[in-house]
Amino acid sequence: MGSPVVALACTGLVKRYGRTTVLGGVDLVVERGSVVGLVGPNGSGKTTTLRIAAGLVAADGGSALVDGERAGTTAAKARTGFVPDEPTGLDELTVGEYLGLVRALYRAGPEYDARAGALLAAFRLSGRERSLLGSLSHGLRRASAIVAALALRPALAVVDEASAALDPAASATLRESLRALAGGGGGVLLATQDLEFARETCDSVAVLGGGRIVEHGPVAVLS
Amino acid sequence: MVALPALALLAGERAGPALQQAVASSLPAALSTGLGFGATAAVAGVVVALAVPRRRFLGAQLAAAPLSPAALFAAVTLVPLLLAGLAASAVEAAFLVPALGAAAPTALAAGWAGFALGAATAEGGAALRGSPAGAVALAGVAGLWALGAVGAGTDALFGPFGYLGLALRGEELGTGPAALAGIAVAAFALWGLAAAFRPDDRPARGEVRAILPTGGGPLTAAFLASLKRLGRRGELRRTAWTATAAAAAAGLVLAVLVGAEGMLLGASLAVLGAALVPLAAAGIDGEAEWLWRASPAPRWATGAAAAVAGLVVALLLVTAAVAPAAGWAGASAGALLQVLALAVFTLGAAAIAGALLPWRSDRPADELASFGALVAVATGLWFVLGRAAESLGGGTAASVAVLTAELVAAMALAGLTAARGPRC
Repeated sequence: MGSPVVALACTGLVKRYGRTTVLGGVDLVVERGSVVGLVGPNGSGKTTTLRIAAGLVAADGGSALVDGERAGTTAAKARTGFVPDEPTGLDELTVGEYLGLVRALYRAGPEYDARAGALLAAFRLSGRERSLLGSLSHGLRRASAIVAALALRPALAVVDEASAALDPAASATLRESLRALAGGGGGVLLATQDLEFARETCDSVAVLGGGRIVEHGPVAVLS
Repeated sequence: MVALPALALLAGERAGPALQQAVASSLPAALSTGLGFGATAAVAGVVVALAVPRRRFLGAQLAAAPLSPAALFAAVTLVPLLLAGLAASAVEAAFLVPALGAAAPTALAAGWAGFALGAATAEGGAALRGSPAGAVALAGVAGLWALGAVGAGTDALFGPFGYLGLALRGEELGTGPAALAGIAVAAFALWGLAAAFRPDDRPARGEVRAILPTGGGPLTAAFLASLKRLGRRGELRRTAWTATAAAAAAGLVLAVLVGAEGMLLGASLAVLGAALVPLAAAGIDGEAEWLWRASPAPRWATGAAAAVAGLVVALLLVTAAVAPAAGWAGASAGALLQVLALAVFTLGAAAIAGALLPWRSDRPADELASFGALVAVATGLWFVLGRAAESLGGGTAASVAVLTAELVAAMALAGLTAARGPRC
């Protein structure tokens, strides 16, 4: 039996924080081999949608399936590579130690190291393996988190504030890396405020507003 | 926190008779108890002085505001600490009055004096790098110590805490509280002076010499990552490591001067300083909540691994601190076992307190709450484990059993709270 063709399927996702409804029934599909962008104003629920997909928070209603597995389960997490908007809390680890930790937590095989090495070079982080994450600029810390997640070659990559803090060269590298992951059969869900980045990277774009998808279609929808 | 005064009162009533009997036996015992009390307060002062917020904690925007060092010290450090200290004094008094009777006011004043002397010493040491004010503060502390010893009429070793030793024996003439309060005020002034001239912290190291092993499986990797994070953490190196090193030095000096009993006092202080590590472990672990929750490794297991790492780092610190004094004093196996039992009890209580009220870096109120939780947990456990050991028939085997149970409970609680903690 082959892999599911859908990397992420969200149906009627609902999330409330206290009395505030952040997501009021989000339907979203990310097919394998595609890059889907999630755009919308601040507070529209982009990050919450991504965090449910990555298993960091549970939805109050609806369902999210990652590669056929319920989001938040061990099986779904093992298939997901998550890049947060702020990769905080690991300042005392070096880039090399951080990659080793992620590799161990996900029980990735030895091929992880080769992929991470190539990505480190692509993001101009080669030679920084001994640098403490806390000593790096915000952009380089984000690049390290991107390398750690994409080197897993996950069935679904979830990337928050995709191009934030990255310089133009690193943004271009991220774009190529996400396209390569999709080309290899993975699915990508990214959130961004950078419409130009979304236009150049995504196959389709979903617009979130008021906790719902108000428009979803080819990149041309952005215009 | 509401239960703290009641717990303190209960503890004071329970501990009072034994304490009074112990200090009544001899003057040296009373003086040593007074010194131990003051030294414990001094260690707390060292830790707090090195941990309190500085200008950079105001955030990039407010840190640029035209605020003088003196105003900054008063607003960000002194006033909040005095308010917190007054609240803590109420709890302390609830313990001291039933425990010590007429000596309670002297003990309360000795607590403030010890705290301020410790803080001024730490701040003075930190300021040495940037200004002569550091040397002035340290000289001032030495002067206050000598002045206190002369005033109390005891050996210089006991400094101002000779007043407390005499009060515990009922031999103090009533001037102790005022003298100790004066020393506390002067030491606070020295602390402020040194704080005004303390240079900014050195920038953190950018690189390490070698990438340490990351481990094969998820739990080993989480444990090793926690070890590195706790070992390299700047605020813990400034506080726990410094306090433990100061306690080690004090222990060595006391071991040279008074022998094995001095070693035990130094070891107790070292355990207190090192307890910051397991106290902070759960909170520091939670800073990377996004990674732990996103990964397929079970969160309870990574949380427990972080707690184990906190205990291991703390035990290593205690071992390094105790070894020189124990070696010099030729400490017996029994004395070393006493230290080990104290370490296991205190560090286990710290791990439990840290799991219940996680340490939040750069949030002084939360850090003080964690300290409060440590006091409450340690007090509660003292009674619970004591009763449990009694019901098991007492003796070494019972002590080993209850301390092992405490450690297992600490690890289980750390795992449980990590798994059920707030989602990021």
